Amino acid sequence: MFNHLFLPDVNLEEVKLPKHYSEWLLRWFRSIEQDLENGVISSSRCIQGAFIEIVIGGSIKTDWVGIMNEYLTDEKGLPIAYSEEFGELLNNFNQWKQNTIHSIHARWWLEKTIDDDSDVENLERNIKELIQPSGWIYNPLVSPTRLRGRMRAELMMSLAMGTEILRSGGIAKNHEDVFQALLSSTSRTNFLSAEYFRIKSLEHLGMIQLIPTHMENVIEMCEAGEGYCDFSVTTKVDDYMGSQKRVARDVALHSPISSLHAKGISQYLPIETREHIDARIHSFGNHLKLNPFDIPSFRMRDVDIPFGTDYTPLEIIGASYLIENANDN
Amino acid sequence: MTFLGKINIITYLKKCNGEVTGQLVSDGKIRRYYAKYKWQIEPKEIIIISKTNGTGDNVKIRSEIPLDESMVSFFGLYSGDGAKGSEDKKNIGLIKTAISFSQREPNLVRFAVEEFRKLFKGDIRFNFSLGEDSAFFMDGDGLTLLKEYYGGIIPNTPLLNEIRPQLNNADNRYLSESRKVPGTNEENLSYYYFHKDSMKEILIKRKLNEILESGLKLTENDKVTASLRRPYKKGAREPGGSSRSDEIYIGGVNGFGDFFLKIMQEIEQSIHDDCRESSQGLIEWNDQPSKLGNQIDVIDFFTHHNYGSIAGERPSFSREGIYHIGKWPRSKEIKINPTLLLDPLWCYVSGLYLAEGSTSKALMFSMYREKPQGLALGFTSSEDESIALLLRALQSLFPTSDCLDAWKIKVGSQYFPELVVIGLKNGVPMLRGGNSGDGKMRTMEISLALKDWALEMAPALIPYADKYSHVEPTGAGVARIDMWGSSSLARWFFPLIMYATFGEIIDDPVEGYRCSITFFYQM
Repeated sequence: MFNHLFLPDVNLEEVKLPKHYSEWLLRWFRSIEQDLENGVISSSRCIQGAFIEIVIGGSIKTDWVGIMNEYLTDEKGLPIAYSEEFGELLNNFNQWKQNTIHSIHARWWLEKTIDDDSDVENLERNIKELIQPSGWIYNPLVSPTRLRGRMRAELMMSLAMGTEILRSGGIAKNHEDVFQALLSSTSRTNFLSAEYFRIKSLEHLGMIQLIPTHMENVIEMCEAGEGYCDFSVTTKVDDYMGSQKRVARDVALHSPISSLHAKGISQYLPIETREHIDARIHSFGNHLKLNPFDIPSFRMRDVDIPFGTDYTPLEIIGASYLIENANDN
Repeated sequence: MTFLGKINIITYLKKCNGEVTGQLVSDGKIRRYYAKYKWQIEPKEIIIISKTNGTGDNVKIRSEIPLDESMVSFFGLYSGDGAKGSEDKKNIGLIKTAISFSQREPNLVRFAVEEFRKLFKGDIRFNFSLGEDSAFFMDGDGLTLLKEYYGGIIPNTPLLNEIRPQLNNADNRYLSESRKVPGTNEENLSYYYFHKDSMKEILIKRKLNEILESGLKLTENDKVTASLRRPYKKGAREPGGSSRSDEIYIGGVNGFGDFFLKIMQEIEQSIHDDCRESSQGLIEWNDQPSKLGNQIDVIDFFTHHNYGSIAGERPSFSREGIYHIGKWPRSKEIKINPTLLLDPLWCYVSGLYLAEGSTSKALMFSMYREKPQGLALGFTSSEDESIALLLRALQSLFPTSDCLDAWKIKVGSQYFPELVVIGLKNGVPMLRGGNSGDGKMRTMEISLALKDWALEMAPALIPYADKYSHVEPTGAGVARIDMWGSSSLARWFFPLIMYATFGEIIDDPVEGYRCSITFFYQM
């Protein structure tokens, strides 16, 4: 079974791709193949490329670990997020060499998936070294931002990735106390991804009893469009001033990934809440079946220009799962 | 002074039958304005304009207003620093306009006031207002000023229920908000009420001094006021932190805001489109804008002119093809056009840059007297037209490829949740840079995902697409483009925009700018 933290419940081998989705994914794959010829590669592209190979062909066919060895490993043998050539996509971006948690996790996941454990101990050691005194796992050499300024989703995602690697190596217990204290005292956020990744960390650590109360409120407030968005416009609060800012023109948009995160959280909620969330997700699946590319990007207030990414391999694979799930019901 | 064209007030009013309307895009908001005016013709080519609904003032103005360099520059300045109006809560999308101006640099304040006085012939009056967060007076320079005010010892602050037994809605809202700052909300609110009048008096004195030092003459109808905000309410994040805001409110022109916006828009649009007449005929240039204006011999300007010298120094020149090579002492060589037309574009951009450029305003005035440090060229905007105009102005002086070093996208904290989602879609977290998180975004996927947005929003940047650097998370504000050029360009660009704006008003820039504040509260 091929599954990944990003897409809860999704067994990549069993995803049934609608034709237009598989065509889109193949186009995306071909575009990164061309970039790869020039060494333009990132760990996130490797992971998405591997996902596409699995959902389309049932197995990984590209030597992603070899590519990582060639382009995404630093002089100390540690995984990095971007190749030097990828770093040149931005002007004068000298910070391209990044030993991030997600690049370590990408390498670890690929090695585990192809049953090549040769470097796993090195990766586990890398993660252990990046556990901060607070218990959060991040690399301050990559992002030196103080804890207060870090995004909750980043901290929780990295914690979930780190604890998954530590659990797999049987060494999570060595740090159990610090993780337990951290998760027990970290307040509930208003973001689906942060809460979903918190739950994954709790699962990895066998501490699911530390799940915050009233998680249903987070899911309810993040209903958007036909499904769920990672955030709610009503809870947008300025970091510094503590006051709600002018958000009348901001719109939360549905996303298959965020909807899957809501589903991931819902399994720990009361049955009636779970049923409501399932029904909404099924309905979203049916909507996507009729409108497969209704996975919009944000807009900056009234200006009708896409602000950032709309669909990506992760969104497309998530959407396929939702469509399939809706068909079953 | 060169007459470049005119504002056809009376012709336009007759053409549109007094109905003035338009669409304004600013800060990502698309809004409209509308007003219906009546007018009365007076002797000496003066007309009196007022709103047909009876609200507002009777505004006295010339039926045709000549546009010279400084007036065009003034509209550029207003485009950057002037009020565009606030949204009518009862009518979403419609702007309630007002004419006011946010600027604290005293010389620019003086310039704007003098241009307003040239524009309006009636009795207009000015209210100079200084706003500040009262946290400023809790430490540092602000605390020192407060101590001086009290004669050395600041009296102890009483409890909130003693100083303010009855709280209003704003007080209650303040008390319910959560901030990571020293002291409790009750203590901070108490400090605010106890010292409010003293703090206000200090600020009024400061503002008045700045105005008078700039040489601006006030009339008996003009006022200087100050307002204090509750501690840490806006901007100031620590005791002694400043969140100063300076506004000039123009009285006697109530109701004319829609017309004023229309004038500004038609000037900008006709320059942008390089059309002799603006689309509604309100602006009429003497020729196609790009063919108008004084031709400057750049070499001669920097060799002999008062405005072409910085702190007593001048550049040297050599020749390479169509460009001249110029070099300031201790600076690097720059290719530069030997001639420059001070056309409406240059004049408008001069004002716009003085308002919106990221260069310290104080530095641009003091550079004539003392060696400037940290002179740099930078500009931030969320609007294509402003970016396009600035780039065109730079390209008229420098080779296209030399105009920009790099550009980035700044995104205010209100839009961080969107950035996080963009990261999630690409399978990455949002990793911030810098200790406080407002440095270079580390997550390349997010920076790259926003590049197309910027290029579509500001196509003028397409020739500089490869100079895109990163996304920068910042405190507040809509997503916007921030671009910067080599600091060597600044030494050539700044004297020429200062000349275009002030050249006809102030002959000697060394002596002419009487007040230049480097620290705003320096006594």
